[in-house]
Amino acid sequence: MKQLSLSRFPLAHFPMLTAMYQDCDGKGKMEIAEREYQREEIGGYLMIEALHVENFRSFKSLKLTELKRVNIIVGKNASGKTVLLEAIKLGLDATPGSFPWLNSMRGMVFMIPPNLTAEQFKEQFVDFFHEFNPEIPISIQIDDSTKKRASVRIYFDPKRATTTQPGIGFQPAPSLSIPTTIIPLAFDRTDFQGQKNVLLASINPQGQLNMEPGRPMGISSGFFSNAYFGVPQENATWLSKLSVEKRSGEVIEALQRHFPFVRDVTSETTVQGLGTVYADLPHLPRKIPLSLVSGGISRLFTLMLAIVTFREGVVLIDEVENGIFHDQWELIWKTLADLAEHHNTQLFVSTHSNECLKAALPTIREKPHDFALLRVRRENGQSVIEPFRGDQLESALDKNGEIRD
Amino acid sequence: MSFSGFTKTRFMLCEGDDDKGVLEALISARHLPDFQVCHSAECNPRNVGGRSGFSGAIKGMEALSGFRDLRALLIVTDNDALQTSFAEVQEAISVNGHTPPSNPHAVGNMLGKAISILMIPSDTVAGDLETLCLPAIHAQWPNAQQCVTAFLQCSGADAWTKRSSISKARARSAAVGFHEPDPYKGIGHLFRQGVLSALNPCFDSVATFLQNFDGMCGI
Repeated sequence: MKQLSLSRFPLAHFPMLTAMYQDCDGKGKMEIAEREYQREEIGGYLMIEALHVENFRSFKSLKLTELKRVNIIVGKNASGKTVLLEAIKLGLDATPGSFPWLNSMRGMVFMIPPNLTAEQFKEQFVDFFHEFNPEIPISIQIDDSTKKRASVRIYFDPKRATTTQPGIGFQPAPSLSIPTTIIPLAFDRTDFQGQKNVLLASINPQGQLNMEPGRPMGISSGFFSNAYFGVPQENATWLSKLSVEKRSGEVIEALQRHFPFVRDVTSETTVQGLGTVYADLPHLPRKIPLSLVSGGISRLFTLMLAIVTFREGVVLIDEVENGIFHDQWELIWKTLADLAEHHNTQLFVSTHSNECLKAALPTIREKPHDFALLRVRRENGQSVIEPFRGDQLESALDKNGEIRD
Repeated sequence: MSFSGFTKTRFMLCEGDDDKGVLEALISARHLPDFQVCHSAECNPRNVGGRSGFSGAIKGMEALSGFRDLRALLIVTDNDALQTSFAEVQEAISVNGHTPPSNPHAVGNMLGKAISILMIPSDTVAGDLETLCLPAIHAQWPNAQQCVTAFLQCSGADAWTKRSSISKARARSAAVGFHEPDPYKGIGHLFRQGVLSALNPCFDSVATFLQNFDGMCGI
């Protein structure tokens, strides 16, 4: 099994998570799913056209069809907007490492202590199952625009149970000196190419957490939580890659349309040897890290970079309005939609802000068929989604109406 | 525009603010089933009023807050042209992809919601809101009929070819000449304020329609 580098995982943003992983195996070599985003040339523009989710978090059953290039998600707090984004991300990655990663995006620590029992192991994952019931598998199916399907079923598989051997690999507590049988969590996957495999989250016989890595299902994706303001090193990596490919200019120009005072943006290496995105501002004698210029600008730049980086993939943005002054919103919708169109990137974008939504109207009006509205709400404790076409969204916004719920 | 979403389970779309005032007063005075009443310019992004604003008003309504809880819609329109008025409203519904009612006593379908059309003064009599309201105006100001008739003869308005304009001129002239507190107020406002009474028998047929609306729509 491939040992994966933690450097691929944006853990610098989550120091507690980093600490937890290092604690788990003592060497910082925890096997986690590889999150290297891959742009795969599968042939033509692929887009998620339909989504079927069962038993994931607040969704008991969700079927969406006719998804578009830009899908705007609205709904009240705790309606399930973020869960929808998570479901898409999980469906596109479908690896055991997806679970701790998704929790980390919510600021939660995924803690696997040593000496854990089978129940404690299972308890780490029950939050992902609808109504905390791991007896019913999580199922996610994604149909792309060429009618290919990727699917994953996630369930505890007693047939693959393993027995830990206390005393090997860690110091057992006296009460846990007997072997513990762990029922692994299975990710039963079929990717867009029809290839099937099963990845497991389990505890190995030495008592260490084992998250089998796997490749994404065939459509690359980036997820940006509401609190995600970009990881400088990750942004620097993306920017360098785009620069080498002579594709960074479009992103920088887009940023300059919003913030003309930014003379240039470059990927530089700090004295600590870390990559960081720097901005050149005319009134300063030296470049300054972009994240020090403004958190909001840095976030916007991250989103722009992501749309270009994940071309022919999917970018999931939670609360797009965060950190951005309202006078930029209209242009932001246009920028994001134009970049998405140019790079065949599909967007799922949530927002709480009516003002931000209304600012989308001119962009939606240009190409209403590129947009869909997904209104999430709670009904009998479950999340449900009302989908609307772009022209319906346009008309409702045109009325200056309330569409959030 | 002041319509941002649905707040009640019944929604009434009418042609203008006078219609809205009269219908709201009627519902209130007679304790009829409650409707959220809006006129077309309120719901139309281009502020197009009257019957020609219905299509734009209906467009995109389904994406607005509260549509889910809506049970029925009623469109109220003047029957100023017996041959075409009803058909024009049908067209405003169907052009948005919904199924209009086949006749004024039938119920259509708008994404699972009942939708009906109320013709005023009635589906068999040509006229408009003012035609419907004139008896109530004359009941409040008994001299109005004689005075207004003389005035319209004098001005020549009684010879206008557009009949709906004549009835509007009658109602408007009466309000101007008899409502001393504010001659500028339209009849919708006067009904809202109770200056004119929605209890007048001229509204009985409309009230009956609204009273039976739920049963007609099966809600």
